[in-house]
Amino acid sequence: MKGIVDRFHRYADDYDRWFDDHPEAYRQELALVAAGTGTFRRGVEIGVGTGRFAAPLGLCCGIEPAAGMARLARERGIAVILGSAESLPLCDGAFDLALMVTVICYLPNPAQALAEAHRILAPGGRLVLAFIERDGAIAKKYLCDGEKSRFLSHARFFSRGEVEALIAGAGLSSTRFTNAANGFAVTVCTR
Amino acid sequence: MRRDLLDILCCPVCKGGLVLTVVEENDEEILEGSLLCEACGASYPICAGIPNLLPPGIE
Repeated sequence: MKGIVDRFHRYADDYDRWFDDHPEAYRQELALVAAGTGTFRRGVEIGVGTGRFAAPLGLCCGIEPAAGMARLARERGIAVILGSAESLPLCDGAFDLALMVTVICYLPNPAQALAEAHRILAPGGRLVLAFIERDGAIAKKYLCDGEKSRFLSHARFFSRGEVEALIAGAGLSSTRFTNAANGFAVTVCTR
Repeated sequence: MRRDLLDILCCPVCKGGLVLTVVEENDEEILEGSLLCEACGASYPICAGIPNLLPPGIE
């Protein structure tokens, strides 16, 4: 974990610039995630990065382990907390929405992170989980291409079946998968 | 961090409640200070408005 977190800390500006340099890809990803988040009362993004999803989607709170990223998320108005997905510093049942976008591929223990997401959700609360599919076009493209490879070459991608197993293992039920047809998948899970 | 954030924060290790100590704040939020876990005694800093609740050893 330390290696990739340090990389996100040092290259936070580069990471953030990607969204300005690729407005169409960003717009597509944001629309897919927004369709999953819908309406909610209090939401947290786990692995909030620089706030590129939490801010436009109206999630008030963000957890982020890399200080350089957290500073940029704070500038976007997110109440950001330095923290780890596997050991969330959040109270039981405090949220009705948790969001994770391209996060599980970087986690040393994704099963524990999903168990923690379950813990902080109120009964009936939703986890919106967006991930890059192992055999999808994005996974293949970015592994050997440009700025994103700086981060994604450290990632461990999952298939839909593996993600479903992780979701079930955390006691969540997965309602549907949506997909931009290029391997960026979103699923909505209910506690 | 805003003061009302404390309502949803807990110790990342033992999930105990946190006690806030303020060193510097403005009209909106706490800029410098610390959060002490009542249950296990771990202390977490607040720096430049951002609470650092990474579990000890992760940082």
